[in-house]
Amino acid sequence: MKINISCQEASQLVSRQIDQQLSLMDSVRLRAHLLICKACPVMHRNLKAIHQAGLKYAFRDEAKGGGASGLSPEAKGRISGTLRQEKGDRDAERLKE
Amino acid sequence: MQKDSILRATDPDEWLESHGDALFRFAMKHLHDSASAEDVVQETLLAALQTWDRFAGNASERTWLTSILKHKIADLIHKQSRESPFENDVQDSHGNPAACLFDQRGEWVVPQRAWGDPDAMYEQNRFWEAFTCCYDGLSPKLATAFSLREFSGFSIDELCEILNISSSNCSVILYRARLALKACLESGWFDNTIREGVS
Repeated sequence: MKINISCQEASQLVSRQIDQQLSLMDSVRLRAHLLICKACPVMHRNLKAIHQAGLKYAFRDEAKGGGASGLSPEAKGRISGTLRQEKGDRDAERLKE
Repeated sequence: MQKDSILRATDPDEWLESHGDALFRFAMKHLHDSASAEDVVQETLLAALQTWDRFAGNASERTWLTSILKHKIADLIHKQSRESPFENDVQDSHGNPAACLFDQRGEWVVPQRAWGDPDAMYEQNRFWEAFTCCYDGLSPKLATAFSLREFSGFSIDELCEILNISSSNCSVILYRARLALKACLESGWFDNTIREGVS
């Protein structure tokens, strides 16, 4: 069985390891590669940092894309109307019960 | 009295005021389209109104609403994946960042440079500007897969189901997204940082 893997294969395994448990063989291959390769331990840390950054980014306030930092007043008005109507309907139903 | 308390229990306008913008931004990071993001926020608040009785109040209101929103976003992307299958993109070698990063033997073409302490990096606004810019530059399908996995925290199995693709293709898409982000961050943010000696 092949133990030696390329840097490209090592980077694929690092990415996969972020999402799921590696097979024993893959995990051995990756660890062996990280021991003998100078570049890949750096890649390993950097890909893990991107994973962590992703978690943080999800709840940051940055406006994305066209610079919309929140709901437009029009959208708010529309949603509020829909909600009030739904709540009114539900309240009416409950009062009947 | 009992009826009164049921009616008082929910005020959807207050949810909209306190959480609407944050929910919208969260949705935009996945959907990249304000009309769709507004729709899922509305659906989320409607669903919240319908399931309010069952909300035990163990989690914060924001956490509860966000977890509903995640599933609304996933439903929408699942529907879209039928019209425009993700499978096609994986077959396509365009948009595969690995092609320019490795030589034919699979060794790095560019040197790998350390980024320094991640916690210090996350404190800097310029890092997040670069991250936003690089994330926005991902192809739409890579961005969608990355957002569901990393922002919403869906497991790889859930992700494959949402995107209608096999588990190995799922891994390929996430790998490409991460590699593209890494390459972009290294060419923008870190180059500047290193030049200015801030690192």
